[in-house]
Order: sequence, then structure tokens, then C-alpha cells
Amino acid sequence: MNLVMTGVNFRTAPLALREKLSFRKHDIPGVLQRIKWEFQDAEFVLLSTCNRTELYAAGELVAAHRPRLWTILTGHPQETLNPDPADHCYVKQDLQAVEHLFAVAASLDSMVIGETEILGQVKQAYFTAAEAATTGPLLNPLFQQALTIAKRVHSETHIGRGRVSVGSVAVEFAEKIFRDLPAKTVMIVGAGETSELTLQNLVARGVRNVLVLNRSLERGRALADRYDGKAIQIDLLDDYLSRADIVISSTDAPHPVLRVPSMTRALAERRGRPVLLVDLAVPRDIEPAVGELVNVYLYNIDDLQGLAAENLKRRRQAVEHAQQIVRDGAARFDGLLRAQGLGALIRDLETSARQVKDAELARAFARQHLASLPEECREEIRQLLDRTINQLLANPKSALKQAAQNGQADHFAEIARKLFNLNDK
Amino acid sequence: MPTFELITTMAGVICYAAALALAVAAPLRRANRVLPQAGLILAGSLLIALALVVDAVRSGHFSLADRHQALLFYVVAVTAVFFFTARRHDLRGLWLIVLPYVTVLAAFGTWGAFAHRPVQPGIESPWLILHVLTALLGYALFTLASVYAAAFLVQDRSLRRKQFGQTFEALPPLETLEALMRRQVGLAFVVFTAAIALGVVLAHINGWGRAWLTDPKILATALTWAVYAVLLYLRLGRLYCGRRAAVVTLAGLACLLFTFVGVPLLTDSMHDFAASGQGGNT
Repeated sequence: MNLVMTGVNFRTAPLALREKLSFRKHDIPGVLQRIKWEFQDAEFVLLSTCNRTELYAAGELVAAHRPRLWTILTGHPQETLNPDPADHCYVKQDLQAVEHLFAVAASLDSMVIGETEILGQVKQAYFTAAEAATTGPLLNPLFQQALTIAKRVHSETHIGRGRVSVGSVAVEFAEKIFRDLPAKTVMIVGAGETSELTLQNLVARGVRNVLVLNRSLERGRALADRYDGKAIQIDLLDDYLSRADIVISSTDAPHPVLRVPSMTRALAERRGRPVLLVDLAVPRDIEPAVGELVNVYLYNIDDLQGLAAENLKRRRQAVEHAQQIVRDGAARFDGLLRAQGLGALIRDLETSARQVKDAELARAFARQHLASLPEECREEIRQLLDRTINQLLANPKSALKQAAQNGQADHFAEIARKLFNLNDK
Repeated sequence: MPTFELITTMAGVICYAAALALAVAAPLRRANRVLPQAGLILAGSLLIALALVVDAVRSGHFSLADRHQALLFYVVAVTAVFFFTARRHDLRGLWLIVLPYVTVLAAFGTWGAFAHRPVQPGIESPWLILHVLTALLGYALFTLASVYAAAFLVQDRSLRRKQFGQTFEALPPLETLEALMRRQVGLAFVVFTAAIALGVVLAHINGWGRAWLTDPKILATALTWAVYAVLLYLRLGRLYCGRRAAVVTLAGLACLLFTFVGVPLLTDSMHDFAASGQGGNT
């Protein structure tokens, strides 16, 4: 199949090397053109994300000149790169490379198993290469199949189900409480890193109204400005509480900042609208008894982390099933390629037989005592030869097809080419 | 023997059952809002409705006064209203409550339907038709409000106990359920009140007098109406919402089922118009 893949990822290479080998989106077409210029007949797709850089190449010459690839990719001779990519890169060929690509696209090789971002990145890498005209008869079907397999893995297994970070779990709750998330108001109490991550997840779901309450108004304003929000002194918590549909709290206060009386007052003003409280602080910012109130849904850091961990565990359990889908897909793709190769072989066989027949007939009919043969007789002879050829070739053809089904296609193809003196194409 | 009506109704019930089987077998994917079995549900409802219409035309009587046909009409009303609500909201998970309910009730309704029991002479009038239709529609709307209330309680429980299984995934957000519940109860209350008013008109026209006021059916209806009236009052005043409102809605359903099904079975109500003394309670 002449497919070779070489690359580095977050497991094999340190960040220092990955940085040097990572490519920006708009640089990739140029890089692809550069390699293509050196290996005219080969096909290339370059996949570059923050966690991996992988070059998929198809063609005979490429496999032999693998070290050159890194040099062309980086624009530097390989020896001058420190650390040396050769020490950190992995190389896979043919079926292994197919399996690897399928696993990458299905997010089995990702840092967070089951994330869907990688699928988009693989798709982008393929489209970029296709636009740069560096894909061909092998990489086109390969990448299309990779995308199909990845989608199958996501729909047939639990690999992408359930959020696995604290912030996204909080969003999951919000989505099951509120009908129209973008119209809701989020209140951040204590401008910390985790609360900002959670806020980011909510903003990504369309939330626009952001209130930031912080002891230092300065720091609060810095965070609020990033999300078009409003910064408020933390002492005014009680005044603003009733406006918040979602409260994310992570102050370093030693005592709860939100207690039952304040919440009860706010609830009365909210007239029955539910409120989601997310307490990310240790020690806790929100009195546990607040969670007992009607229309209040309170989650602390353990709830969120517990659920994230549980989801991650469930994803890992799904890996085996997903790997099976990937392996089956790769084997089927391999079989497809082989069947295509076999089809070419059978066509060669028939062409060669027809050539022999035509040559022999031409020679025979040129002889004097046959020259006067009427056309009906000539036709008869032609058909006779056709039938003979068909009968002679019937057995080898069916034996080849049988071999393809038993996975011996390569072996039989080689023998057939030798026996019938066909050139390998 | 009205074979056509029976066969059509049975076909409708089979459509419901098939839709239910599909809903249980196929995972409820997040991506597609419309169920693949929507066609089956629609076909089932249309078949049963067709049977009811054909029966009424053939007999020349207003046949919903019969208990079985009334049940079938109620089933179609529940399904149809829910079907059209589900087009505007993502309610796939709720089909798993609605489909078993309507399938079982439709099967019960088919049993013994279209027997053409004679109705008390002289009772049929446009007022009666309106009364029965509004009452059944009111029942259907209250039933759906209870479906939303039940789903609300399940979802609320999942959120509080931090148990996030398949039901959590399949059910819509609390606010959606709450809004649907509120709207449905309000609408149902209006329709149901109209049915009661029409009933009063009917009693007056037919000159049933005072004995009517102590009939079990009337008392049960008054109780149901009162429960929903209190619920509406509490809701409008924003005194009750969420979980508590859902519980009261379910209490309303208990009264309603008693009025609809329990009274005709358990008591000897005057609200029974079959001349033979059987059937007729709606």
C-alpha cells in the first residue's frame, strides 16, 4: 500500500520539540507544496495540532527517504534540531498507519479521550491538503474513511458522552435547569482561575450577562472586561444575588459568603425562578443548607469533580469497543485496497491474453492459404479462441478472488504475475 | 357489527404499540428532534379518529356518549396535543411516558367499543356534544400537564440527588417543563370550566332539578375543578412553583382519574345516559 506516517505527539515528544514541529494553519499549504516539489508522485497530508504533528505520505520514494521529510518540514537540517525529532518520533506503515489515523480521528489517541475537536482538525488537515492538490488515490479514500469511522465511533460507543471537566459539567447542569441559557445572568463571586474556566464554558454556550463580584474591584474589573461583564464590590452580594440565575463562587474566604437568609430573600424576589449555585471553593463559600431550599440547585467542587471522573471512567470503558470499530474499519479499508489491486491484476491478465490472441490471429490470417477464408469462418475462429481463453482464465481468476477473501491476495498476486509474466503496476 | 370501525381502531392501537416498541428499542438521540416513529403515532391517531367519525356518521347518533368511544377520543386528544407540543420543544424523553399510557388506554377503549348501546331518548343536543367534547379535551390537557409535572419531579430529583442517568439525558430542562405545565394547566382549566358551564346548561334544559347537585359525578368534578383552581391561584400569585406545583398537579390528576374512570365504575351516578344503564359516563 506504500503508506507511511511519521509524527510526534504529546506522549512521545516534549513541548519544546512539539513547538518547533507545529505549523500554523496558513503555513501548511506552503509546506505541503515544498514536499510535493521534492517527491512529485507522492501524496501528503499534514496534521498539526497542539498535541501532535503527523505527516501522512503515500508513494514509493517517500518511504525510503523518511529522514528527509523532517528536514523539509521544518526547513532545517534534522541534525541541527534540538532535541532531535528522530529520537521522539514514531513511524507507522501501511495497515498500522491506517489504524493509527483512524484511532486519532476517533479521538482514541487524544489527551482527553473522546473529545471531538480532533475530528474537526483531521478534517481540516485533509481539506487543506486536498486544496493544495497533494492528495490522491490513496490518501483521499483513506481520510474520507477515517472521518466516517470517527463518526461511527462517536455514535455507536459512549466514548464522547458525558462532560469530563469541572467547567463543562457545570454547564451540563445549567442546560438541564434553564430553557434559554443565553438569556441568563451569571454571577462570578471571587475572580479565580477555575471560576473563569467555568465562565468560559458558559459564555461558549451563549451566556452574555456576566456579573463579577470581587474583593479587589481592580481584579474583578479585569475579568469582567474580558467577558463584557460588570464588576461589583463583593460587599454588594446580597443586593445583586436575586439577579443571578447562575452563581459561581470561588473566594478564599474562610467562612461561607452565602448563607440561607440571603438566599431566601433573593428567592422571594426571584418569584420562583430556579437558581444554579456552583461552589468551587475549599473551604466552601456557600452554606450546604442553602441547597435544601426550593428552586435552588447547589453543587460543590466534589460533586463536579466526582461526575467528571465518573464520565471519564465511562469513556475509558468504551475504548475497547471503539478500538474494535477502528480495527475492523482499517482491515476493511485494507481489503478494499487489495481488492482494487486484484481488479487491476485480473484486467492485466485479460489484456495480455487478448493481445496474444490478436497477434496470433493476425499472423494466421496473413498466411496465403487462409487469406481467402470467408468472414463467417474467421468469426468462428475468433469466437473459438475467446471461449478457450475464457475457460483457461476462469480458474486462475476464481482462485485469486478466493485468495483475496482469505487474506492471501498479495501472495497469490505475486505468483500470478510471475506465472503469466505480467509487470507489477 | 361495525367491523370496519373495530378493525380501524385496532390498526391504530397497533400503530401506537409499534411506535412504543421503536421508542424503547431505539436510543433517543440528541440530534434529531422529530422521532422516526412520528409517522406511526400520527397514523394511529388518524385511524382511531376515522373510526370514531365513521361510527358517528353510520349510527346517526352522537356516539361519544358511550364510555369506550369517549376513552378513544380522549386518547387521540392526548396524543394529538402532545404531538404538536413536541414539535416546538424537544420532548423526546416524554414519549416514553405518553406512548405506554395512550397505548394501554386505547386498547381498553377498543374492547367493547362501537356496540351501539341505545342512548336515552331526547338527550342529544348540540349542548351535549359541546359538553362532552370540551370535557374530554379538558381531561386530555390536564393529563398532559400531569405528564410534564411527573417529568419535572423526575428531573428535579436527578438534579438534587446528583444522579445523571439516561432519564436525565432524555428529559428537557426544568424551565421548559415548568412553562409547559403552567400553560397546559391554564388552558385546561378554561376548557374544563366551559365543560362544567355547559353541563349546568344541559341540566337546566333537561329539567333535572336539585337531585343533580348531589350526584357523585358532579361532586367529583367539583373537587377536581377546585384542586386546579387552587393550583392556579397559587401559581398566579407565584406562591407555588416548581416541585410543589408539580405535586399539586399530580394530585389534580388523581381527582381527575377518579372523576373520569372511578365514578362510573364505583358509583351509581345519574350521569349515565345509556338507556340500558351501561356506559355513557364522560
